[in-house]
Amino acid sequence: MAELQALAHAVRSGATSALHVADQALERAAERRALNAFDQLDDALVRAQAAAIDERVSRGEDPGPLAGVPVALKANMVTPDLPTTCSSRILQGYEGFYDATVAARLRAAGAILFGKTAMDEFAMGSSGEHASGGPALHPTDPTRVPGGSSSGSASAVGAGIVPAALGSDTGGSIRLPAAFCGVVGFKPTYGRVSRRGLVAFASSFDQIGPLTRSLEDAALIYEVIAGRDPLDATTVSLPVTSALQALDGASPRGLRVGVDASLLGEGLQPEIRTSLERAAHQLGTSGAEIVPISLKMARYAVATYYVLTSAEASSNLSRFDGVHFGVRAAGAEGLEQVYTRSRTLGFGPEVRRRILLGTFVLSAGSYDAYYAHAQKVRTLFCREFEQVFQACDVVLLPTTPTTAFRLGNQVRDPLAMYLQDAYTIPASLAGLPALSMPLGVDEAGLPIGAQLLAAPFAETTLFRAAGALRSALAGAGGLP
Amino acid sequence: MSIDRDTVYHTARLARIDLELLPAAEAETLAAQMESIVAYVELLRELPTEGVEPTVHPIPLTLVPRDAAARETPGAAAVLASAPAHDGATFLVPRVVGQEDSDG
Repeated sequence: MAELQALAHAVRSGATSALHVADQALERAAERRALNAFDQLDDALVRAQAAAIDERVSRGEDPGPLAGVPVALKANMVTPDLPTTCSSRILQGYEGFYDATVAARLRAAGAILFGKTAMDEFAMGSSGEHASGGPALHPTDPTRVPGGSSSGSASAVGAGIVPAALGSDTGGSIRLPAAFCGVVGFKPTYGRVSRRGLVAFASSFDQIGPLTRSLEDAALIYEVIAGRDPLDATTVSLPVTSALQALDGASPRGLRVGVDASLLGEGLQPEIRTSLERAAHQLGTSGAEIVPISLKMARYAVATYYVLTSAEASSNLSRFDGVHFGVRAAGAEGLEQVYTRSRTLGFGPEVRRRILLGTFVLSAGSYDAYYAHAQKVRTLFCREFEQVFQACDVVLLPTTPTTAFRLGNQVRDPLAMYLQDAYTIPASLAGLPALSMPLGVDEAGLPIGAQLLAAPFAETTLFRAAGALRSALAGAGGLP
Repeated sequence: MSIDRDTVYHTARLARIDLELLPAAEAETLAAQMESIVAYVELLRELPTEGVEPTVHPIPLTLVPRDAAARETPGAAAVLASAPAHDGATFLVPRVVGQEDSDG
C-alpha cells in the first residue's frame, strides 16, 4: 500500500490540506505522549510548515512527491529550527545552524519535518534505554523496549503517529527497532545517502534510512534522500536506481535466496526460527530458488564491530569537550577540568564504555592486536559476502535473536545487549544494503522481522526480493 | 592481552574522562565491564589475517576535490551561537597560560 503517495496526492490535489494532515498527526502524538517517542516536537513549527505547503498548493505549485507528508527525524540529525540533542545531556539545547542534507531533501520534496525522535545516546544502544530523556516505549506493549538506537522513530511509526521517520543505522539501529515494532526499516548501501548533518558515531558504518509501514513508502523516502552530495565525500556518484519500480510486480520466480541454516539454531527465539523457515519455504513454493550458504564469519561479527565502531566513536566524540558545542559542566577549575567534567558528567554510561573501549584499542600498545587486526577481519567479511552473492541474489536472515524484550532486561549486561545486533552487524561491516520487514508475530503478539541483504548498490534487487517475499507470504495467507 | 584496573583509569584519562567523578561503585562496575568486553573481543585472535589488507571503508572511495571557487560560509556568529562560552568572535576557555597552578 502506497500510503505516502496517496497522502501526497491528496494534498497536491487539494482533496485534503497539509494543515489537516499535520493536525491529525499532532493529535495522535498528544494521545500517545506516554510513548516518549519524541525528544523534540514543536506543534507551531509543524503547523507553520504545513501552512506553507497549503499556500504553495493554492498558488498552483507542486510542492513535490512528499507534499504534506509528516516525517520525523532522529535526534542526531541537525536542523536549524529544533535542538539536536542525540538524547545526550552533553548536547542539551544544542541548536545547529544548517539542515542535514537528508532534511533539506525531504523539505524540497514537500515533506513536513515532524520533530526529533528519542534515541539511544549518540546512537549507541539496541533498546532505546540509553536516552537522557528516558526510553521510548514499545508501541503495543509499554513494558517493553522498542529497540534502538532509532527507538523513537520505530515507536512513532509503529504507533501510527507519523507514517514515516528517518533513522540511522550503524550496526542495526534502523533494522532492529523496525523488527521489534513491526514496521519496515531500510539501511541503504554505505555511500548511497549523505551523512552530512548526521552527528557521527562510526563514520565508516553510519547510514541514514527510512522506517515506514510499507515497502513502497520506504522505497519512496529512499529515492528522495539518496544520491551524491558534494558536502559528503563518502557519497557515491552512482545514479539512484528506482526501488519503487522494483516493487512493481515483484515476483519470487527465479530469485536466488541464500539461507544459512546454521544461523537458525542456538540463541534464536524458536518462533522466529519457525517464521523464517516458513518464509523460505513459501518463497520456494512460489518459484524462488533457496540456496544453502555458509556465513562462517558471522560468529565474529559482534567482536569485530565493537572494536571498530568504538574506535571510530572515540575519535568522533572527542569534539564534545565543553568548549565548542552543548553543555559545559559547572565547577571546572582550569581547561583540563572543562574537558573532563563536561565529558564525564555529560556522557551516559554506555557512551563512556564505548569511548573507553575505542581509546584502548587505538592506544599504542593495543593498536595492532585489536584495531588493525579488526580492520583486516572486516576485509574477510567483505570477501565472504562477495562469494555468497555469486551464488545468490539476496540473503534471508532473522533481524533479531528475540522479539522485543522487557525494559530493564538487558541493560545491566552490556555484552548481552551487544549480542542483540548479531544478525544486523554483518551487513554493516560489508556496507551492504539491508532491510527488515514484518513477518508476523510471536505467541505474545510481538512483531517478528525478516531481514534481507543484497550486494553493494543492489537496492533494486533488494526491494524486488522484499516485494517477492511479501507476495509469497500473502499467497500462503500467512501475512498478518 | 587484557585490561587491568590501572589501564582502565589510564585509558579514561587519555579520553579526558575522569572516573573519580563517578560514584565509586559505578567506576568499579565500568572497570569490570571493560575487562569482560576486552576478554570477549579476544575471540578475533582465532582468525589469521597475515597478508590481508585492512578495510578502512566498505566501498572504494575516490577523493573528488571541489572547485577552487569562493562561496558563502555561515560565519563565526552562527558557529559560536551554540557554544557554552564565547565573546562573539572566539570560544572562551579558562586561562591556560601565565597561571601558577594551571592544570595539565
